[in-house]
Amino acid sequence: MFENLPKYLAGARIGIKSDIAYRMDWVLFVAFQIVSPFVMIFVWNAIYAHTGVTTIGGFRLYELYAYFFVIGAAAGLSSLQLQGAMEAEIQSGSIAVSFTRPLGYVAQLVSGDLSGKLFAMAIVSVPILIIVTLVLGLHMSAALVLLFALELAIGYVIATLIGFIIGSLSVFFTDIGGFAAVVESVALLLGGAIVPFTMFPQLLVSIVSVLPFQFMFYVPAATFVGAISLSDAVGTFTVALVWILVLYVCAALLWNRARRSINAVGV
Amino acid sequence: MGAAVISAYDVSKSFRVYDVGTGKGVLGAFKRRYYSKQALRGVSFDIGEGEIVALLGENGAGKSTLIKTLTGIIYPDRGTVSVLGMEPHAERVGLMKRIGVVFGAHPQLYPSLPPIDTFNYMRVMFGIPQKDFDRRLDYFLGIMNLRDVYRRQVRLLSLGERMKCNVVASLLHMPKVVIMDEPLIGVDAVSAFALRKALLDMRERHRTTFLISTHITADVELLAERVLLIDDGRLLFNGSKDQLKRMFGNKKQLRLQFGGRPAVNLAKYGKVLEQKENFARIEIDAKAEKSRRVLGLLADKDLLNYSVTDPGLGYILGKLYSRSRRSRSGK
Repeated sequence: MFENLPKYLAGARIGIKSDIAYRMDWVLFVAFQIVSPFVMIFVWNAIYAHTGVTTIGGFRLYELYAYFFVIGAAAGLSSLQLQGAMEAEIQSGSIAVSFTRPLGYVAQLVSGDLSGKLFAMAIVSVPILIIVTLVLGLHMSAALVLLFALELAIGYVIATLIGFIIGSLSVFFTDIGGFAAVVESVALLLGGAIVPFTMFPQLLVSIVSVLPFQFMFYVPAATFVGAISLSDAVGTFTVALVWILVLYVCAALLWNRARRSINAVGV
Repeated sequence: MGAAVISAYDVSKSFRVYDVGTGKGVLGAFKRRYYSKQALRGVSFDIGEGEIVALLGENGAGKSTLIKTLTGIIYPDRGTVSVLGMEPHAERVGLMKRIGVVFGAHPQLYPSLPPIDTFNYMRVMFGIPQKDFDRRLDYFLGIMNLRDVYRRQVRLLSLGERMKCNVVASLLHMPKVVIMDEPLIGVDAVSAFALRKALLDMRERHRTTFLISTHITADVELLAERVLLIDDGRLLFNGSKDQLKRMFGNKKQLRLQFGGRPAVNLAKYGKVLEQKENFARIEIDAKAEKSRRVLGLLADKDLLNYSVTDPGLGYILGKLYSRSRRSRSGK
């Protein structure tokens, strides 16, 4: 594992360099993460003003402001992206090049994905979250920050497993843009990226709270703004671990089949 | 020839492919006819240490499938493959440390970055000591005329320049075995010549083994000693370049330019391939080139100019392919 660390770091370096090769595009990508929460904030301002209530689904308005900024940061890590990279490689046949490197394919794929996301996290999301915390006067503690980081990591693992499963399907279906769009929409909605799911009807809440999508968005965001207690947050970990296990087994079985079916024929 | 470093035994592979319906309307694209395409049919061969072997075959013959099987990308349906004693698809990571692979169709360079970034990535990826890296890179950039371009964004390079950098990236770690799938697409003659020289030099010094799939006959003429010829998934020929040439008799072509209509009966000397007003092309037995009879013809007072040429490899391959196609269609 650690003997390959320099290779992963070199891969991360060249991946990030490649990402930021077009500076204007990258700046706009960063700007998107700042602008997009404001869209949600305007919508919720209107809702709170119109209904005249002070809390909806346990959230006060300023907590929702913070909530959507954290969603933006979490989305930087937990949006489904791995399948796009796999689909592109499988469709174009350039997966053959990845196979010529003396590193496992999945390790190359995940390290490339993670390094780019961590880089963006470090230079965009972390400063945004610090500013949001200071401006809104949120209560932070070392325990809370640690828990938040752990939850982001769990969200990333789940998103990566889901992305990997969809990406593996590309071996059989070639174009999986449609699959990804469906799963992504469901994940955003049921994960609480559009509406905190505590605002859903009770039946839906009980369904969503046993699904994996909440860990990608809702759980870290709600923890950060203090909408769920530390002990409740820890309580969700059992569900998360079960899902990680299930998704991992599915991903491994599927990839084992997909790997044998890769033929890169004609490309 | 040393011990076999690349070997294939009875390798077969088929794919499920489909044709898309063709109609006037767009909905025709929904119709599919699936069938199985047999890409390799029981291919067996050995390649020894230090050999340079050309892999030839028409488009769609199975060359790339064979190369992807040898490099562990594809699992064979049947048969066994071994490179440096390893089973490529099972021991891919370990194997890749010791071999170099070039896919002309899939450049490994990062398009948004200059080639030097990819080279440096390879340095870390293969654990090449900095001193060796600098020396080898300098050597390759020099012989391939890349010094002016290796710091320029890949997207801005010409096809040939990209191809050359692509090859360099795969050779920097001095692999024991190099497997290349059409590595010289778009490379100019001077650079291609320099690269071939470099490969021969690598073989001389390190006993590097090369398997090169190519459509460029000069690669075969100047580089390879042995030819593997694949046709419709079968190994049609496995032998030396000279054996290949002798398969259709050892013939040479005589091109003759006369001052006027030739007075001699050319059919006497060999098979007349072409005859115009004062020009003729005849095929003679190679052994007869210096026979008294042919020399007599060349001394003819009406003959202004002549040349003797070997039949090109392209000509021989063309004959082989068409013969094989005829036997396949049962005629």
